[in-house]
Order: sequence, then structure tokens, then C-alpha cells
Amino acid sequence: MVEKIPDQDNFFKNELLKITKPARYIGEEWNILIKNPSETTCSVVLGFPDIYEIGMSHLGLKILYQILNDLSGVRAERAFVPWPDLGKLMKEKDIPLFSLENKTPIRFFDIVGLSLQTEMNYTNILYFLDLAQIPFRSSERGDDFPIIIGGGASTCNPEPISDFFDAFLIGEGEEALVEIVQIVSAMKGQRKGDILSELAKVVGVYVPSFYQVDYSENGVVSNIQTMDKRAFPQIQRRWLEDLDRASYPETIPVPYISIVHDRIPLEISRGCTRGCRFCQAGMIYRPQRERSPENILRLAKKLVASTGYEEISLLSLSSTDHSRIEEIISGLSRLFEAKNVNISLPSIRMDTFSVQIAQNLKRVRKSGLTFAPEAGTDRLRRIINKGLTDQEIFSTLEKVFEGGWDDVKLYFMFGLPEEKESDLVGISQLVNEGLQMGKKIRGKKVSIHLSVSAFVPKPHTPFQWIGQNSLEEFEEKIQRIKAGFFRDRRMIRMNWSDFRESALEAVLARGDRRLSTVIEKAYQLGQIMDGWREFFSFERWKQAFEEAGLDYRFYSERWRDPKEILPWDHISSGVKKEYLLKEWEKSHRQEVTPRCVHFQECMGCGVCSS
Amino acid sequence: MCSFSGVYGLWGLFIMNLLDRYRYRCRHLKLVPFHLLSQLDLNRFWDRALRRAELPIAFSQGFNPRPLLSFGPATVTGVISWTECLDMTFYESIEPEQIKNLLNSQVPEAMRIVEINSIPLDFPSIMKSINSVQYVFIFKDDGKMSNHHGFFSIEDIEELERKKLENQKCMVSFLFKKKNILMNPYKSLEFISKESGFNRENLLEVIKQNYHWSYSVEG
Repeated sequence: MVEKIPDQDNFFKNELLKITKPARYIGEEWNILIKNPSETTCSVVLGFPDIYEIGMSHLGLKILYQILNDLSGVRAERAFVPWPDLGKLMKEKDIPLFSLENKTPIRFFDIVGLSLQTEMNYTNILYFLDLAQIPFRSSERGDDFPIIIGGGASTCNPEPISDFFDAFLIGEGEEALVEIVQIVSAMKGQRKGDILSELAKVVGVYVPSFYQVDYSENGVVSNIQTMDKRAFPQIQRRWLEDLDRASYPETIPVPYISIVHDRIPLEISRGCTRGCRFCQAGMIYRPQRERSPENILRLAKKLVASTGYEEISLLSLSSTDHSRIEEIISGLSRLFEAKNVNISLPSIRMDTFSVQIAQNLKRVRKSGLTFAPEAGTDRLRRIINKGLTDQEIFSTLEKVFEGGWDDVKLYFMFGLPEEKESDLVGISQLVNEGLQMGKKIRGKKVSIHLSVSAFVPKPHTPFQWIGQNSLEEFEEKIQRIKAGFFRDRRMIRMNWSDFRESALEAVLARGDRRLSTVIEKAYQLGQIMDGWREFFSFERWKQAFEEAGLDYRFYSERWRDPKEILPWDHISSGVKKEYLLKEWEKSHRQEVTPRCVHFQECMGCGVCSS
Repeated sequence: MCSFSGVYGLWGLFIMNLLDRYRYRCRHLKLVPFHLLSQLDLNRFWDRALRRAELPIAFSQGFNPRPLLSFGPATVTGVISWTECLDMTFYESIEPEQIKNLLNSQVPEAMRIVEINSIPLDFPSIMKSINSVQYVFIFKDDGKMSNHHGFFSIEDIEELERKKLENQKCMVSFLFKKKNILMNPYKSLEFISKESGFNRENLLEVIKQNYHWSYSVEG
């Protein structure tokens, strides 16, 4: 077997000229880690089922890349799916998908780790495997194929794609992936079934073939049972106790082309204290853990020196909830102002926004501000536990405009549970009043960039039992929101997500194992890159469902009975199902759950109470 | 780092920028696989390399400060270039040779700076300094290689005048659409002085040396 791609030099020198953005595929970025294959005993490819610009923006990939390459004898390389123009060329020329570092075809790696961040990448998993010339289903892959492991946010319900993977890692990978690599490395050459049995003993590892799922006549799951004695009856999500002691890269690869998040990602905290009832990340990354300002400043200095990046983004689910955020921001802006390095905060809550933070943020260059009121009225925001009032929203907008900003970006959702017409009208009223206020303060027209998306009920959240709105309801609601805006639309820039994409997302997020057939059919019908509007075709998906004899509405629009066995019941995020149910009931009463602050009034979600 | 900025704050920076400016002109390579980078990519590339090298690059004033870098005529993506030009403005004076060494420790070999000179602030821009751009084409003869290591003769090296550059679009289509005729062209610019070390013959040498990896031909 040849472990190189055919006619490699010609491919990189000439063939790549025929396609768009060829620099995606050359590798050779600054700070990448290239190890000699002959000097390593275990090889891992960190794959991302989306294009380079998206995959390279993902923090988890950078963290794991560093951790694995720090292990002696292990080489970790990157691979992304190509844009379809190169995909076509690779198929024509029989060039297998390769890693960017050593240009090794994917199938020659010992482990393929695929990062699953969104359900909209599911067809791209098959695209990745297809281009890598690897059979789709775990059962069709013999011992000479790599062990294919999935990880990331979507694995909190991995059932729809469970047939394609040998194993999943549920939760945070810093420690568990090292354990996995050590087992695979030690057992190299042994039967895959034996290796998987061993992997199943690692906390957080889920080997789907060790579990059998039965369905009752009405289509709901009737039973989930383990087929291998060594497998845990319920998989516990892995998470790190202490973020400050966790490994974090001091150098990251610097891409040559512009990527989606083209800046230093600096994670200041993980998990969220808030508990918004629609938010999956807020539930599945509990508890909230913080990195200390000292550590953050040290990492920032190292990362700026090693990458030359002109911007640092402070990552967390809610940056201003970090207990020492002002100290972090003022420390960073003091350090980097003279070097023209910009600091940005991607997620600021409106009730914790302060003028001081704003002033520090715009010292180098003024970056945009984005807030997420999520819903149009106080009532609906209490139902979803956003805990934000109209008054707080307006007082923040006031501070923003007084701070010199002329535009602001706001996120809203529609199709939320118990939504009424007044909530939809509330969105447009909020925007209209914001614009009027801005004009008054700034003395000129201001603009509001509005991003509105359809609500997707997600597993492991208090709204996991809820039926999503139908496509017709979504369409009607959009019209109602639009009708309420000012005539002068130049001040409002609107960005609507395609609600058919949200419908598919709801199907795949809460699906069961039978969906693997649908995903495979959709791929065979030509569906890839679902997250890209130019490639997404709901018609193709409908056809795939029809051919598989399934109704997509069963997964998206059906209300689940709280007593029903959910397809993901054997996967535990740590948050108890009873807690989620209690939260759902509280939402009916518009009852707000206060934020989780360590060692104070515990809400008993179950993650950290022993 | 100049101590001015610390003492006088932003105003100090402003004065410093007016007073202390030093300009350098350099020539760098853009060889395989970096021939696939676009002109926009190059801008980011040097911006970040300069920060990594901790060189005192000056920034433009105003709302959105940008590093003071200026480039020569954009090279079409896919063209292997032996001479890419770049002007940089610093707020501190540094030995050109030291700049070259510092920067070359922060960029790949195939992008390295081969020449750097200090130039006066009022020196004409790269665009105005260029008198011609040379492209080298390697032809393929009906799928078979001709003699002379892949190109017909020395006459096939085209020398294009600046005027012709404006017509670059159709040249590009000629370059890339009729791919059976042409492989990667090599670009070199002649600028500033003829003593820059570059001449037609050594470019040919480079192509000959590299010919064995340039492409393979079946049958």
C-alpha cells in the first residue's frame, strides 16, 4: 500500500490551480507541528467535516492538536473536507483525502477523530469518509481501517450517526483523548472489537455497537440495552475539574487565508452559570469553570508573540459573567494597546455590560458589539429563563450609543415555546425604539443588525420534549415580525436563518438510529454542506425520508411524552432528567431560575453535587 | 520600542510618527506551494510575520490603524515568483541585514527575503520604480516534452511591458484555461537597479534546477 497521494508534486503545483482558494489545501502554516511518520507509533488525524475556514476556527481542534503532538510517539495532523470543486477533482483523479501535515491519506491513520459541532455537518461526515475512500458504516470496516471516533457538542445525542462511528467521546477531550490514544497505541495490530471493548472502559467513551435499541409500534424507542458486559449502562460525560490547570496551547497554527474566526481564541471560562432553557451549551458544559486572569495574561503574551495575530477574542459562553472580567480586559488592553492588538468579546450579556468594559475594548480599534435578547417580551424571556428585561435592554443600548457606537447587532429567536403574537410584535417594537433612542443620542441615524433564527429544541435541555413549529407556522411568524418594523429599512439589516434548515436541525438533533439510513440516502442524492445555503436542499432531504419510509415531522414537530424513553437517555450530560423536567414545568409558570454561583444556593442540576 | 509613546500617550505616538519614519524596500520569493497565496493573503502574511519578529512597524493613523506596508503589482495566484516587492515603514531605524534575518526566521524558506535596502522617505513607490515585468512560460509540445528541458528556446521567455500588464485578465485566461499549453509561469520583476542580482540567465538556471519537480509527463 502506498501511503502517499499519487503524483503529489503535480497536484500541489498544478492541479490546485484549477480550483477556488487553493491555499486551503497546502498546509505549511506557521506553527504547525510536523512529525516524521517513521518516528511515531500512533497516528491521529483530527478531522473536521466542514471546510478549512470553519474547521480552522474551532478551538477544540487547536487544543487537542497541541496535546496529542506533545505526546512522544504520537503524531496528530489536520484534515478538512474540500470545497466541492476540489472534491470533484479528487474523485476524477482518484486522489484520496489527505492530512495537511504529511499529506498522508486518511485511511492510513490509526485513529480518525471527527469533530461534530453541528447536526448540519452530518452529510459531510459521509463526504469526508467517501473522499477518504473509507466505507461509511462501522460494520463494513475491517481491522485494517482506522478507528473512527466522534467528539464535540453533537455527540450528546450521537444516535443518528452512530452507525458511521466506531466510538464517540462524550464531553471534554483534553484527558480522555490521551487515554484513548494510549489504548489504541498499546493494542495496535489487535482486533478492532477487542480494542473497542477496552475503549468502552474509559469514562465518557460510547461504543454504539455495544448497545441495542428497540422500537415500539408507534415508532418511539422501547428499550436501550447493552450487548457487551463491559460497557456502561449509561455513559457519563467527561469534564475537567480545573480549567486553570488544563493544557492550553501557547502556539497555534496561523492560516494564510482568511478564516471565519481569524484571531487568537483565548478561552476565559467554560460552561455557563445562567441556565437559559433553550440553550444546549448552557446545560451540557456545566459546571462553569474559570481561567485565572494571571493565566489568561500569560497565555495572551505567548500567543501574540508566537502567532503575530492582531486580535484576541475572549471566548466563553458569557464573557461578562467571568468573576474577574474587568481585571482581564483592563490588563489585556494595557499590555497590547501599544502593539495595536485588538481585544474582542464575542458574547456579552446586556445586563452585565459596562461602560468601562466598552471603553477598554475600543482602545485599539472599535469592534462591533453583539447582544442576544433572544425574545421580544419580558414574559417570554422569563419562560426561556433568559432573565433580561426590556428596561435592561434599553439601558444597555443607551450606554452603547453614548459610548460612541453607531451600530449594534442583536440576536432573536422565534418559534419559542408558549410564544404569542405580542412576543413577535415585541421584537420589532424593541428594534424600533432602539433606533429612535440611537438617533436621539447620536444625533444621526444608527443601524441595528438583526439576526433572527427559528427555535430548535435540543436534547439535554428543559425544552427537549417540545414539538417544533411547522414550516407553515414559521413562515407566518416571519411575516408578522417583518410587518412591525419601521418603514425605513435602511437602518435595519436583517439576517434570517432558513427555517427549513432549523427544521432539519431539529430532526437530526433529536433523532434515533434509524436516521443513519436517511442521512446516507441524502448523501447519495447529492446532499453535502447542509450549513451552506447554496448547497442546502430541503427537497432532497424530504425525498431521503420518503425513501427510508420515515416522516421528518415525527422527529421535529411531535411533542414527546415525559415518560417516553428518549433516544439519548443512555447518554448523561450530568444534568439530571428530573431537573430538566422541573425546569420545563417552571417555564409554564414563568418562573425564573437564578444563576448558578458556586457554593451558594444550589439548584440541584446534578452535575457537581456528589 | 520607543519610550515616547509611554510618556506622551497617544499624542506622543502621533508626534513620533511624524518625526521618526524609516523606509525599507525588499524583494522576497514566492515559490511552491506559496504560489497559491493571493495578494490579500500576502498582506496578512507580512503583517503577522512583522509582529512575530517584533519589528517596529509603523501604523496608519485613524479609526482603523493598519501597518504601513505597500506592495508591487499583484502577482496572479498560481504564478511562481522570484521577485515580489514590498515596502515597509518603521518608527525606528534598524540595519537592513538585521531586518532580513529577523523576518526570515519568521517566514517559510520559500517566502524568504532575498534583498533589502534602506530607502529615503520620498523615494518613488514600487509601482513607479518598476520598468518592466518578466514572465517565463514553460510550454508543453502536444503532451510531449520538447528539447531543452521543457521549453523551446531562450526566445520563449517573454518580456512584457508595463502597458501589457493592464491587459492581465486575458493573459490569465491564456495562462490557465489552455492548460495543455502552459504550466506555471515564473514571474520576476525588475525594479530599482539592474544590480539587484537578478538577471535572465540565473532565472533560467533556477527553472532548470527545479525542472525535475515541476511536473511529470505521461507517455
